Amino acid sequence: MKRWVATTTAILMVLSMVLLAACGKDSSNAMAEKQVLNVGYITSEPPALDPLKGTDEISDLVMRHVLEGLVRLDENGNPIPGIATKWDVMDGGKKIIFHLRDAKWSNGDPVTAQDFEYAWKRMLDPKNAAEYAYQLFYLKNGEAYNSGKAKAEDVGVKALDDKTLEVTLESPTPYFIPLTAFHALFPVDKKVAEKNPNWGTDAKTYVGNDPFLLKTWVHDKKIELVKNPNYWDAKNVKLTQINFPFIGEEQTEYQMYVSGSLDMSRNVPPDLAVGLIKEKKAKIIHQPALYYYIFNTKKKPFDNVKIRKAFSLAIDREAIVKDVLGQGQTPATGWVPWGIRDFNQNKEWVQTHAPYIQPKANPAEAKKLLQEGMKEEGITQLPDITISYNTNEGHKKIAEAIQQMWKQNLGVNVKLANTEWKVFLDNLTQGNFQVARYGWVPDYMDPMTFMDMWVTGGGNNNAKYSNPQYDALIKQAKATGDQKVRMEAMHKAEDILARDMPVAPIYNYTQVYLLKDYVKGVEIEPDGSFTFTHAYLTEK
Amino acid sequence: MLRYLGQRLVMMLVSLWLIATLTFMMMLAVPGDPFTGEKKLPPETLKNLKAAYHLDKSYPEQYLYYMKNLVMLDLGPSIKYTTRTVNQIISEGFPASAQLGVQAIILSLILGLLLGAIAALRQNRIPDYTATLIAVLGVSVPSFVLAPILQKYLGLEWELLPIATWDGFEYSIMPTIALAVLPLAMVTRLMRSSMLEVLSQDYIRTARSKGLSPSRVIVRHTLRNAILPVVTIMGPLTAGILTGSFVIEKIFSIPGIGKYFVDSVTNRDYPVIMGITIFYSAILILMNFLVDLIYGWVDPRIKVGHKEAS
Repeated sequence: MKRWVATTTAILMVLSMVLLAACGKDSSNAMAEKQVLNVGYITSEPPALDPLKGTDEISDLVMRHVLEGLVRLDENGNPIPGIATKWDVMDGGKKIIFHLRDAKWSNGDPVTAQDFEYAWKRMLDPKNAAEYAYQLFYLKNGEAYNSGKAKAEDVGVKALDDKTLEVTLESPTPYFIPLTAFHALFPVDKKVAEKNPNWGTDAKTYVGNDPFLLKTWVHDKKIELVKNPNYWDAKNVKLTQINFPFIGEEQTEYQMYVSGSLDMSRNVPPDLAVGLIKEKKAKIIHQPALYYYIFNTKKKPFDNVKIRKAFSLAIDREAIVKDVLGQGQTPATGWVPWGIRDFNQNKEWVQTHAPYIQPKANPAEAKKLLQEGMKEEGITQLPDITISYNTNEGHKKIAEAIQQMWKQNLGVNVKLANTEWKVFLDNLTQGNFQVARYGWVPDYMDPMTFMDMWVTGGGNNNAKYSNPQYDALIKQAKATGDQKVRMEAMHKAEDILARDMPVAPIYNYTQVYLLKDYVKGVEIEPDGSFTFTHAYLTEK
Repeated sequence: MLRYLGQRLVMMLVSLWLIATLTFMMMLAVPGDPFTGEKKLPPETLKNLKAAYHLDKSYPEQYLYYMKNLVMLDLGPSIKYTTRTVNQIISEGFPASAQLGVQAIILSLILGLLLGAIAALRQNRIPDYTATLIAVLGVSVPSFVLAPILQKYLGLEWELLPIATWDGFEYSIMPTIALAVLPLAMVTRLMRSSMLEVLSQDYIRTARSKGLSPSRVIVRHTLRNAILPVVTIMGPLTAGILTGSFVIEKIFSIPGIGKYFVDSVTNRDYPVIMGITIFYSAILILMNFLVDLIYGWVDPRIKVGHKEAS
């Protein structure tokens, strides 16, 4: 009898524990009473929260939560309605008519087409000296007005009435519509900005039209956003407040995350990241960005294509991402990184072509090419090779690994030279380098942002590369709105890059972040940035 | 005395002008400008930007323009933090830096003088060894190593104090400790050696032999004289702490101006580089002046404003 009681009690206990655990699981999905999110994201003061002046990632993060443009982007980078409910593309892609919804500014003013026209012309006005004016050079006469060669009236943006905005472009630009989701093209409340040009410098005078309002902006300390009851989709916004304390040190941010004062951390110390990923405590996202080495094609020995190819082939990209970095990065297989789409085949760009570059080094082929290249140049000994990079522990480690690979695979002695960031950039522009590291993050989600860099005389063409055939293909892609023609031209252009190798792509970037289990609904934009509009907290 | 003060004031202004001019020249000699960035700007945009900040003018014109504004105490706009002026950055950031600095100085002075004096009075005994050990550790453990250790234990493990940010007195305790350790060690060592030297002087022996109580000998005759070397280093030390706390400000996310001291150079934010350098130089010059005045007060033999008879 006693044994029976004991057995029954044990079974009941186990059952009740299972039930309790199950209940516990249920309750963890219940919404938390307090919907306040503390985010470790901002490392220093945002330079500006007025779209006219903000150019950096931090200003962009805040502006994306307090201001809304014509469209938003879905997870694939396709435009979905924002302030515009629909848009008509006409005239072979050169004209777009946006139809706006009934939306309000946080001061109660209606958001009108005039607000967009005003904001864009304000951005292009040469007197305002906006750094991001070039993001509006796609507009007809946008560049001409910015350089004082045309008047404001000539610019291709016009409010037909309060709710209709007509946009005329210089040439068909399929990525212009998604570009309106970028903060440089956000609207400003015309009435407010005309009366007070400094409206965007203080939380008290700040006017927004997004799910959140700028409640507090204490310089060098914190930004607090609260829910905007006037937002058109306010019913789908669950958070009541987002706090962004400014934390300058990754280690400090990590300790605050562990202690529970932060619910999310985006700045994970690199030395901890590898371990945290292994323990599945940290998450990784793929950033559509490329890390690469630039060859100075105007200086010996890298003016020879075979020598450039030999040096590229001698790099073991797999070893770099696995042994040096270890944060989920992948070896680059071409010039357009992962995350960028081919809009013709509707696939990831990297999946639409055979890899141009192999992850493993090919020492035999590299040595052969080096010998042939040297013969072509009539040299028996290579001059000293120097890798330039800007002062940073990560760049140093990669440079050291590549130094070792070139020594081992090519028998070449390589020196390393690190300089401070702006000195490094200055050297690059002046052409005072042989091989230098670089990275490129897209301006907009289209392969063009990676491809048009290498046209002859391009501002960012630090390799000083020039190939008329390549230039013609890029020109062709820029002149049309036909995605098939554009994509095919860019694929052909990429083939040429693979042949000429002015740069050696190394790896595709990742972003490591920490997020508590009870935080749900955090959205990751196609460009790798975060949005908290639909985030919410469940019970801990 | 008035004449002396007048002379000093003129000298201080001349020093500031020299510092400003030299900084201006060096700043322009460094490669890169505020608009050198990862992505190159179109030439027209760059032209507009340079015009907006008067950087399209010749160097002498830029210099005169800057100096004219400086006389009016206008330090100009920040080029990186486009919506703020340098005057705003300093006036908003300095209170936090100053609070942290002053707390660290007070803490290091009180503890340093006390430890140094005890070490000297108990020479070659346990209190002396303890004080010497603290001093050695203080000098050899950098603040950027100590700060994360404090954060880990006082903040994370024992939950006694907030890990970082700036929201009241308790937020200032850890950074104050981290910042005070080096000056504390310096004051302790200096006080100990200077105390030992004074204690071996004839007049102390005289005072003792006259039958003065030990406490009177220490307080009236030893401490006052022993403190002189400490006063000497207080000028540069105070200026150093008020201005050199950028590492601590960064680690503890304190909204001070320390980080601008370094970041402005990285950003080539010319007005901020100039403004902060001039502001910090003014503090250093002022501190040295105050120390000279205190010197005269502590040791009446040093008469401020009177030339010694040759």
